[in-house]
Amino acid sequence: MAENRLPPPGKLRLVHRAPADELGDTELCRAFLAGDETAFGELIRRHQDLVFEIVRRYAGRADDARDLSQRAFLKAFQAARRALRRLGGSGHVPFRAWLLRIVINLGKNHARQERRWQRAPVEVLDSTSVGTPSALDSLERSEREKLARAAVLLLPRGQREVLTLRIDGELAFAEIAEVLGISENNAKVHFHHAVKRLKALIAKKVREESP
Amino acid sequence: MNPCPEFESALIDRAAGELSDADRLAVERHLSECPACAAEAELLDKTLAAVALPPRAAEERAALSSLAQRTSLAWRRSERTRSMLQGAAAGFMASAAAAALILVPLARRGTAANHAYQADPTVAALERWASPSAFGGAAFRDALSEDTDLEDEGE
Repeated sequence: MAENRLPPPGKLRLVHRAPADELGDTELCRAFLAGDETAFGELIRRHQDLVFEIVRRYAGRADDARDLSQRAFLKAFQAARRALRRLGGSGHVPFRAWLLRIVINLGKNHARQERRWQRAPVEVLDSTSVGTPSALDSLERSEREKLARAAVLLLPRGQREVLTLRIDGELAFAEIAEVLGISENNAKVHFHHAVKRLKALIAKKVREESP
Repeated sequence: MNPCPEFESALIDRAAGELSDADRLAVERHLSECPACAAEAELLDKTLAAVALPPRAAEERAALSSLAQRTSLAWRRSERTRSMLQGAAAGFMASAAAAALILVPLARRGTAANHAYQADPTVAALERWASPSAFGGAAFRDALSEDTDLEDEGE
């Protein structure tokens, strides 16, 4: 899929996992549960950047991000152990997909518990009410980024999850679909709606602050 | 000026890097001819750039560097707790079974001696308490595996 695509114009960088990675994860889980400590470290090293990056979306402090990442790994290992015991020697576990699903849930619950972000009533946004690049530039860069990142957490759940996995996790829509248990097309639809909504939220903010 | 409706979706795909080579060339060609769509494309690029997280701060890099070691320690701790819980559960079951083995025959002997069987509610309660099914309940299972559920915790 990525081979026939030019590099994206923005900063997005797609990372496509090789199919063998999932099999490798299962084997590492099995080795770790059999007592191989190095397999544990390898699994963490393989996924820690992805996990931490997604968690950063929800956790404002570095310590919180680390703790949430740690909890996600522990839950994923426990889930893998239960599954491998049930499935026997030839079983396969989608470790990475489970890990990401857990990360999303933990992050969401953390943000809610912290009440870091006020949930504002989500308005029905007029799709024609767009801003302009120059208007967007009128906001200070740091303020604009802060606003945009906060706006992500105000998105409806499906849109937020897809956007987070896409922007922060840099996952392909096929893998996002697998993680969230939805179709690839549905993931793309969520992404489109999320981008439109974010654009409108930012444009609205710009209009409000314009003299 | 609004962008062309037929390019609305393609412009988002473009910003997300989701266009095929051919589609991207077609969109770029259109952008060179349509100021409204070009402005929209620029706005979408800026929106996604603004949404992206900033580079990791020094303390975030430090937190990440210690993640593997801390997770390994936490796993060992959780395994010790799990072993203790399982050991306690096994001991509890063994004690309950032993108590049932002692109390139930005594109760039966007493009723046989009196030739008038009367159900002893205390013994019946103990039997229920010590039965294996009492350890298969949801609460007990949850205590051992509360950290392993994959279910969504709700919005």
